[in-house]
Amino acid sequence: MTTVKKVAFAAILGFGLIATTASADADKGKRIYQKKLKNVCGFSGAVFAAKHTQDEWAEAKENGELGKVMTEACPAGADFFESAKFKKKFSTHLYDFVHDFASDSGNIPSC
Amino acid sequence: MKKILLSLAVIGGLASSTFADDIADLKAEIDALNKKVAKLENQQKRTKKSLAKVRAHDAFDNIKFDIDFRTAYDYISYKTATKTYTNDALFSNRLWLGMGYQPTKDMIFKGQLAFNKAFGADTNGRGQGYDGFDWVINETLTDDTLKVREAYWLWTPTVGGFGTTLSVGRRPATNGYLINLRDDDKAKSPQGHIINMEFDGLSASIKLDKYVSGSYLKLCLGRGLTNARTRFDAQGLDYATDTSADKLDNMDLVGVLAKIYDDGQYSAMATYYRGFNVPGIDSTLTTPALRTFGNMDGAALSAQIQGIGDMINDFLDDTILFASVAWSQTIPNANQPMLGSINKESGYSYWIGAQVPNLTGGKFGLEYNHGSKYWRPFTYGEDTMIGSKMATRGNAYEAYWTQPIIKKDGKSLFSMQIRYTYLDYDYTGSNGFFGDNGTPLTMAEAVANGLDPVESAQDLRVYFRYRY
Repeated sequence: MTTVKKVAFAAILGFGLIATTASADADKGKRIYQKKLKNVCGFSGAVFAAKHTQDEWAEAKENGELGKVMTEACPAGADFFESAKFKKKFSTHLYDFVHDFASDSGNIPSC
Repeated sequence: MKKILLSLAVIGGLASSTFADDIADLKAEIDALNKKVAKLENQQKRTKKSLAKVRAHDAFDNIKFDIDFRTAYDYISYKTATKTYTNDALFSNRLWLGMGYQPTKDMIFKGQLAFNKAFGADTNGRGQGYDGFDWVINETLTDDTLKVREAYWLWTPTVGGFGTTLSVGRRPATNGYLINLRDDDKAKSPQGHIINMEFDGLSASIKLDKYVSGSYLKLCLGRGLTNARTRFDAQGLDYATDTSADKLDNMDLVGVLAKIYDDGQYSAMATYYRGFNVPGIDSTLTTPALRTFGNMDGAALSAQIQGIGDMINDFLDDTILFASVAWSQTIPNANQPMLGSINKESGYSYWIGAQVPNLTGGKFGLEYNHGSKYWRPFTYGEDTMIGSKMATRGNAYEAYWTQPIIKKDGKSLFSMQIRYTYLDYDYTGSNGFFGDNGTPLTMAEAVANGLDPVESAQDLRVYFRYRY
């Protein structure tokens, strides 16, 4: 291995391979919906997100009623929305996702 | 004493009467205020509803633009049998100005203007040779003119209960499945293992997710080359087919893509395609030139795991593992040796990779791929300065660190990446077309033929990227 290769690999490994931290992520929210809710709800994430406007989703989050509002949008997912994992972990990612694709977001889905 | 007590009683009675009046007044005022608040609340509700309607209307009533601007530094190096060639000061800017318009729920227009240029004026005719070829015009470093990278309409009707799409226009088949990870892009539908270039054509798909989670089938038709004459043709045959012997045939590509499964965690994808009338350099001519050589088949099967286990922890949730295998085969015309052979020649490739999150909110990735002697994908537009790593007939290694610097609403607004790519060639011609310059020779054979082949190449890139 040449010096450049060694230095490059070492630098990228050194900078990159450290433990982990999580932050809210709309893409992750989309994946969570796809994995946990799509079959349960019976419709796509885009349809779910478009059940409310951005303001309505934001208001639900501010009032601590995201789970309740999401349950109204997808009653079959009630168990999931009441779970501790949803409250502790999934809700922020799902919120970013539904806010991104709310009925008045104007975001055009990728194809 | 009695007088005092009597006075106090009178004063108390009077005060009590005044206090009762005050309470009544206050109650009336509160009632009035309550009515006002209720009225205001109703007004606010109506305003919110109106605003939501305006926003919903506005959202579908204008073209939305997005910007992706990247400044990169690349240190590149090629080692041939006799010498090392480097560039330790290659800076470049790349701009993608995207636009989208969705006037109705099932009709979308998407467009993208692009420029991709090295810092500084060019004296080497950049963009005038094969780097200016239509397949890669926005992926190679050319000049500072804006060019159309993407322009198509997409119709998404539901037919017989199935979601379908039909799209026609100029669609870059770049940034596809799995190659998007190192490029830090959302995956488009092509499989990055075998297809990564721009094309004009159409695609049609049908969703089958009511049977298998996330699955769909997609047909893609692309025209890679046209042999229509030019306007103001000398013979007056404007845009007619040019059948002269020295002209290339129309080149088309037909592909079938299948998203076999996708549940948000596990996904798999397969593609089969055939390229008709693919071009290559004919070195037997007095002046070597492009000629039509034959057809080219290809296929790939790729799978990805996004998140290990069932939401165990953030590290495992955000860890991605993937593997992919691919195959290619030449179908030469009579007496037209493709990749230096008049026989059908098959090549294969495999590719594995991993991406894990890190403490700084970024992503770290490692990838490896190997290609055999006659391996030939359509990945000319891959975003690698030293040539497509997926096309390598040999071994390719890559490590990268992608780091969001500024985020907004959970999205990376400003980010950086450090990436190192090392290509170790077993055979020549990895990035050639389908004719003679795609002929695979071992390094020893190439040297014996008086060539000075590139044995290995490396690229260390640092970029900063703004997206909104």
